[in-house]
Amino acid sequence: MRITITGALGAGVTAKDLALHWIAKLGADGARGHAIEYAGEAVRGLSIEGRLTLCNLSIEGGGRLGLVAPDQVTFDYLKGRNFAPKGAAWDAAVADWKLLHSDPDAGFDREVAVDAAPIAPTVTWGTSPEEALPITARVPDPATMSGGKQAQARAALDYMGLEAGMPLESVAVDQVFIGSCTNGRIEDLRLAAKVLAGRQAKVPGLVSPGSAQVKKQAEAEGLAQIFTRAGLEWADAGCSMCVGMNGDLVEAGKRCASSTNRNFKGRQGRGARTHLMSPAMVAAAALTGHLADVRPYLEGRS
Amino acid sequence: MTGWSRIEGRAVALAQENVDTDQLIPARFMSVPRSEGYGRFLLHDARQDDAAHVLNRHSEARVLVSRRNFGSGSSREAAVYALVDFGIRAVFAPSFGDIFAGNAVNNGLLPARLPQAQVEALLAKIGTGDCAACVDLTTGQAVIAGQELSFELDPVWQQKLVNGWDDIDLTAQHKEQITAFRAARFLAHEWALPKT
Repeated sequence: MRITITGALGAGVTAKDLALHWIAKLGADGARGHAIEYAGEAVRGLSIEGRLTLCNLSIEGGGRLGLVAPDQVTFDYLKGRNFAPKGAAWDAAVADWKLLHSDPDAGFDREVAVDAAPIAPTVTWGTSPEEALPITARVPDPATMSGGKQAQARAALDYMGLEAGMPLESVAVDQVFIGSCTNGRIEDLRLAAKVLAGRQAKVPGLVSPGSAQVKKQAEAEGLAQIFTRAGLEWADAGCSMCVGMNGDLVEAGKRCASSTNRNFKGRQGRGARTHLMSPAMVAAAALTGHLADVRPYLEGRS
Repeated sequence: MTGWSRIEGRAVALAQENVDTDQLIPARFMSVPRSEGYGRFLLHDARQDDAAHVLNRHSEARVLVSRRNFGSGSSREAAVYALVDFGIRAVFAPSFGDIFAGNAVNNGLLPARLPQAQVEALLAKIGTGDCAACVDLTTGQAVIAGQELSFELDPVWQQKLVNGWDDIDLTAQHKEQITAFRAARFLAHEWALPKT
């Protein structure tokens, strides 16, 4: 299956928003039975970190895996890294990798096109990743849905403690979490730190870097300090609050803005209410104490 | 693992979409050794919240009927363990989470696809009770609540379930070809050779 994303993502709109957008459009089983190749201008324009987020979330759309054909961005990312081939072996590797693209006339079982330009920062309101909407929208009304969807949406709103018709931006959160294999990379932390720098979080939160290496890098770049000065806790790398592990739990009935991949019932703890969004959007939720559009908070910050 | 060709037992209905792996077994139970059995963790929170939950009333159930995208979520194999240890041998639904379905077949659990209309009819018929069920892997036929059904079953999955094979058993049957490929591959792509 190929998902071609044309155009360019707007400012403050990330790979996470793109992924939640297509999953909302095609469903949490939209890519069932498929390996997904992501293609198109918007994908080429993503960094490796962004592509990893997009591919990681293929599972949330029901796919078996996601991939992006290697290009110069890939080679630049790999060159000089630990375990990357060196010298002549590097040139041989790049020559091999350059062959790893779909032929121009390749056939796909399914082709989907998505326009990147209209995508807004996106958040989930329910208990499946497909239950996602632009932050500018309102909580949907199950009465307008059909069949199984309606029952699922009613159960989701009940679990999430939300009323149909309320603006998503009015939903108050109790805490925030930045981290996970989906969005715990250095770029994620940089973007969240850009939003939080010199500002104070209104709610408590945890930041767990994606790996020990990312942790070290974030500390060297001064990002850790930005998080702690904003009032958030800087933790070790791990699955952490994404899956309610190691004591990093969201209590029953509490609402968490989370940069993770799954908003399933009980995922972050029994009775926990999870809203999925980009790390930048989590940072905006931390600053305001409610779901919020991050774009104004990025203005004037390069 | 022992394979199976035919089962008879009771079937129950779980009329939900997207029954995900976190619901099937919350992560907090996954540090328990499998030898202790995972059946008691199956749909733990839903069963604890509702004493009259269908699985609390029918602990002998061997077949489950549910809605679309059953087993969505992660590669959490423990979700399959919980079903298998509870006694479930077959789940009937319009669609399954891909990774879950693969895990299921590796562990002797049949993920059987049925058209949505048939599933809805079954759910209506079974309701909150239970019914008799019979599933035959060799013919791809089942009878649930008196309904005769043909389900889709990939031939490789059928072979694995009947023989009790998992992916490693299947792969090990090609050991010679794999060794030969590996040698040739490293000759042609020397850069990929692990450095010792």
